[in-house]
Order: sequence, then C-alpha cells, then structure tokens
Amino acid sequence: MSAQELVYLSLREAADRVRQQQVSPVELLQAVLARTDALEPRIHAYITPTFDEAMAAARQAEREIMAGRYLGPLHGIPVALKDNYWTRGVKTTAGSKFLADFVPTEDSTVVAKLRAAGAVITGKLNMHELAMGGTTDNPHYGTTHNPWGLDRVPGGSSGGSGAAVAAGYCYMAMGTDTAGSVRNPAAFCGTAGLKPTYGRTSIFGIVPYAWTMDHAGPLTRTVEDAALVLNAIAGYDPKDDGSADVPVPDFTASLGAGVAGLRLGVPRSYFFAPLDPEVRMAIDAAIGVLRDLGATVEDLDWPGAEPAIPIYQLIRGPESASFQEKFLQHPEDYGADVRATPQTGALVLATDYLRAQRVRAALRAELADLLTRVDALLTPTTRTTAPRIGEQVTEIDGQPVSASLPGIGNTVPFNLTGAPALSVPCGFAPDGMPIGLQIAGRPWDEATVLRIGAAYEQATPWHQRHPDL
Amino acid sequence: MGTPTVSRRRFLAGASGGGAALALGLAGGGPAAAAPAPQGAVAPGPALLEELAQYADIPLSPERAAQLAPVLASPLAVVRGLQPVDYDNLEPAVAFRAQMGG
Repeated sequence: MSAQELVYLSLREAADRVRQQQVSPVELLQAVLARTDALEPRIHAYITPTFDEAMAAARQAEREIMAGRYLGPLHGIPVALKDNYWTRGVKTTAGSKFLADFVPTEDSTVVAKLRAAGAVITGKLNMHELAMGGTTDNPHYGTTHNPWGLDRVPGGSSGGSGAAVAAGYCYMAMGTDTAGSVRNPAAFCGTAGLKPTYGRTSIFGIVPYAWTMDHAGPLTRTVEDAALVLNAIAGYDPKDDGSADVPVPDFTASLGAGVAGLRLGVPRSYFFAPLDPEVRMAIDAAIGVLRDLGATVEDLDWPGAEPAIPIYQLIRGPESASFQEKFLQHPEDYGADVRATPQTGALVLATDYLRAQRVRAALRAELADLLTRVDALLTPTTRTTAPRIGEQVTEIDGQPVSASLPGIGNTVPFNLTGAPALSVPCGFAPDGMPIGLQIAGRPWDEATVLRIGAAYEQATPWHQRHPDL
Repeated sequence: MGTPTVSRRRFLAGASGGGAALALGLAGGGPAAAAPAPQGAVAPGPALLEELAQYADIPLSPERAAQLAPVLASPLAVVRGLQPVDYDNLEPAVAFRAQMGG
C-alpha cells in the first residue's frame, strides 16, 4: 500500500487494519505526519501541532493492542481537533488573540471521550476567529487553504478541520457548528460532516460562540466514519446544561438498510433560490440517485426557514457578547470581520433577543410538523462552491444576496431547530471544487440521517476522490 | 393580544413530537409572511447606539456606531416583523431546568 493510499484510508478501514495488526498506530501516525510535513506550508491547517504527544499516544496504543487490550475503532487512530476544544495542558486559542495564552487545565468532554476511546490526537486546527465566520482566513493565526484549490477558502469556521481531513493529515477532525461550521467546510472540502441533534454531544469545554446553537460534530472521510465517531462522543454530560439524557443507539446499526420506503422532502422555495447552477445540477442528480435507490421524493415548502438568518443574528449576537464581555473592552484585538457581531450583540434589547428565541420555538414546531410527512429533508449544503480567498459572494445566478446566505443560509435553520444534519460530497463543479448535499432529519434520529447518507455514498464515487496535491 | 391558552405541557409536546405543531402554525405559512408585530420596528441610529454602548460600558466611537447601526437594524426589522400564530403562548427556545438532587 502506498503512503497516499494509507493516509486516505477511511477511519473504518484504518481501524480494521489496526485491529488485525496489519498496520500499527505508529505506522499510521508516521504516514499522516509525513504527509502533513510535506503539505502544511501550502495548506496551513494547524495552529498548534502536538506531534510528540501524538507519537507517545500511538506507542501506548500499539502496546495496548499488542497486549490484546483493543478498545475499539478509534484506538490508535490519528485525529485532530478544532482549536476551540479545551485540551488539558495544550494551548486552546479558538483562533482569537484574546485566548492566545489560554491553556486549559482539563479536557473538554468530547476530547476526554476521544482519549478514552484510544484516539491519537495530532493537534489543534485553525479556525475562523472565535468560530464567528466561514472563511478560516484568520488575522492572528494565518489563512487555511482549501486542498482542492489552494486559492479557495476551506470554509468555516471549522476550516482547518475540513482541510486536514481532505489533505490526509488525519482520519477524522472534530469541528463545531453554530450556523453550519461543520457542514460548510465539509461541503467545501469534499468530506462528510455531521451536526448531531442539539444536546446529543456535550459542548462542555468548548469555547462558546452562542450557547443555544453550538454543536460538536465530526468531519470524516465517509458517513460510516461519522457514525463511528458519534458512537464514541455521544451521551449525556451533567457538565453541559444543554446535554440530554436520552438513549444512545449504535449509529452504525442501520447504515446498510438502504433508503427503500423512506420519504424524503425537498424544500425548494427557500433552500434552492437562488442557487449556483452547478450546485443545482449536482443536487438534482443526487436526489435522482436516492429516488433510484427506492426513496419516495416529494417537493415541499418550509417558508418559516426564510428569516432564519435574521433570527440567528439576534440570538448569536447577544450570546457571543455575553461570553466576550471582557473582550469587548479591547475591540482593536478582534479581526475586522468579526468585531461587529459582539459589538452589536451587546446592544440588542433583551426583549428582542427573547423575541428571536420565541420565534425560534415556532420554527422548531414547524419543522417537526414537516417531519411528520417525510423522514428527512434534502437540500444543498451551501449555495455555491468554495469562494476564492478574499472574495465576497455578492450574487448567485445573477441575483444579489446577503453576505451570509451563500455559506450558512441552508445550514442555520437546523442550528435554530437543533435537528441533526449531515453534509456528504455529491459531486464537483467543472473547476474541480466539491459540492455538498445536506440531509436533515428528526431530532434524535441521526440514525436515519446517516442511513440515507451511507446509501447515497455507497451508490456514488465522490468520497473516493482526493485532491491532487 | 389574546389570552394565553396553550399550556407549557402542550407546547413542549408539540415542539418535540410534531403532533401538536399545527397549534403553533405560522400565519400565512411562515414567519416571513406573518403580520407585523405590534411593537413595530424602530431602527436604532448611531446616536442611540452610542448611548447604549455607554450604558453597556463598552467603548464605541461615533464612526463605529455609524457603521454598526445598519448591521443591527436589518435583523431587528425582520424579527420584529414576525408574528407567529399564537405568539403570546410561545416560550423562548431556552429553558431553565432544575437539576436532580438540587
């Protein structure tokens, strides 16, 4: 097996080889670190690599596995973390100048669970400053480049995570998602990306952006890999007030069940207009694949999603301003593109914040009603492919659009409603940039979302392509 | 403003299961098409933002206040204009939960 083939194994494939002792955790780590050494000057996915600690963890995993103490599919697997996950003894900047020297004294719950599962953590990845944007063009820690086009953004805010998985630096990277920050870089970088149901994965020990919409989720090479990671990180956490004490199924159990008999809804009126014609072609083709696999597909309408961005803005502003209250005394230490969010958020009336939260409750009920008619919704993850670094998308298909719509317009409704949503690669534009299909389902029913994603993935070749670097 | 008629229990049942969601259906099919809210939408100008910033004890120059005013006014106008059916009975999508064992 070539070095390139080794680094581009799926997490499941790598885990099978580790379990069967065909490849050791140290060999896996050496392969991805060699890849990182070669590419990092061009990609810049890391803020803080922890390669020495990773090598120690890989050696320990190797010893444990040789001794017959195999912990499961994450054991000995190199993974990386967005730099807003607390890591005990390792700097956690959240991409912010304010937190440049922050060294947590404990791990976030997700990191603790990954370590308990035997994962080998290779370091902390670049992100949009304080998770408040979608380019990962970070004025304090540098610009991350999209492996599929080095002049393109990787998306964000988990852009380092998307780039790291796409470039073969690791077999999984954790991201966080407040408006689409897992699914957007997944779509732009050609990976799978899962935002679980709000409360399914703990956000304890993640630097907050907006508490009521922050989610922790993985970016992976395949849908099955996302399910494997969710198995490891899901579950009730008394340290997180939003965490839910609900049963955690085996998320891999129904991955092979197919989509025959499932009802899928396509909400065209908002989510498809305006839409880049190249994205539309790929999404319509993906919907056709799912129909051919036996799903019933119907167009439906979700007009309540249309004001999702303004509702989100009136919630994320005050919540971010609350966490960043001390930061606001030093506005010059923010990047120019993120400063406005907490500055305006601090000036929103409490009644306006609560109005947005009350309207949000109506939106949640409206989605629940839609999801009595269908099992899941299908939409484009983003309205365009990844823009060029420094470029602002101002129109799509000849129509002027707001700055937020192309990147988060289709993802943020599922942050407001807390429903699970997955992005899977569904094609490439003629210029070679990836396109993502979003599959969203009922709260707590990640299993169906993953099942649909796995069926689509198994019928298509997109996840098997890798950037030519 | 009508008298609230939906209990918290019924609200939660509708929101989680979808069965009673129609009780919270939105006028005209969605918030965007709903009737204007009674409180109206007053766009906060730069001078008001400066005063609010003073009240909030955060530094904000007049130039910056002028830049921020439209940034804030736009979502405010939309959200204040939304009036879901039965809005009076809607509770915010944030919850306080007493913990087991106090």
